[in-house]
Amino acid sequence: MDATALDGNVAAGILAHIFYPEMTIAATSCAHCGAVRQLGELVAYVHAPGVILRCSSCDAVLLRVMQNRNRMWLDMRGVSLLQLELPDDDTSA
Amino acid sequence: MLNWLIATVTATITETPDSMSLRLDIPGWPGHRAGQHVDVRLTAEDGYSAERSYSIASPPSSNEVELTIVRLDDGEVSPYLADLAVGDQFELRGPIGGYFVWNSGETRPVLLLGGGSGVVPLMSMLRFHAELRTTARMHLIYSARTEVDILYRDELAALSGDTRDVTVTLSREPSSAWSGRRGRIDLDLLSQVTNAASGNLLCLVCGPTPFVEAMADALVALGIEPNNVKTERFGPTNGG
Repeated sequence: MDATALDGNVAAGILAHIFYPEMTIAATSCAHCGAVRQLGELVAYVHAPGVILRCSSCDAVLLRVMQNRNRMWLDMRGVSLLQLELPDDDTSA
Repeated sequence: MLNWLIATVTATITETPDSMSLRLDIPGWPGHRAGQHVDVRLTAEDGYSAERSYSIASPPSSNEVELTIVRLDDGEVSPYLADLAVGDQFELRGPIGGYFVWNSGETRPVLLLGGGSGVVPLMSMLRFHAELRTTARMHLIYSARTEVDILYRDELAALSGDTRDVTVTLSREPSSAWSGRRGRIDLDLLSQVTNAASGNLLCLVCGPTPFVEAMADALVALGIEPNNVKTERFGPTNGG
């Protein structure tokens, strides 16, 4: 792994703009190799504008998210399935 | 949706020559778990803003939130934070993260491995552990560069004992006055802990990416299940 890479924990703040559940424990399935990883385990690159999350098994791009002032972009085509954990007291479903 | 909150500095604590802790009063703070972080946002008058993540050092039981800031001279955010005084305010959002946390209900023995300022979220866990008087063992192994770089030095010594162990090792200490352990965290040191726990060990590793990679590989080589090794990496791009 690139020594400048971080992990998915660094993307949790910006993703909280979009998703209500805690995202570092969300399970992601890689659309390229099928690996299932918690988002906090993914490999993060923060040099580009925004954050890029890559698969910790095959290095494919799972997710790109970026914000510039009052506009956001989210590309999740590398995630074939996302499983979210709702708080215990959530009754909205 | 996490809203931006206003934090007011209530105390500053000098930790080392290039780091300090900020104690914060944050109206609307919902409470946190040990290991979580916050995003700090600074906004210039022209609207340019910079965000950085900082781990929370205080335990969940504390009413105030404490962050430890290492000053990076070429950073955009840390030099500003390190110059704050009591009464100053800035924006943050949090708490963030549910992956790299230690819960009070956890009964397994825990090994915490910290490299440099990676010890900060582990300090929240160690402080929380001490308050809970839990019987599950917790061992912190902390690698710092030199003796003056050791964060929370006196408190670490005070927290050691009972069901807690603290091992500090210095990777670049030039002085012969240091009587503690020297060198990087190696398989020999790690195996003393993993053998004692018979492999049933939860490991939390935080530090720069090369440190985290080396530690995670070593733990798996010693027979720890990858699922029981949780990591958090940070780097200069995230510090600053």
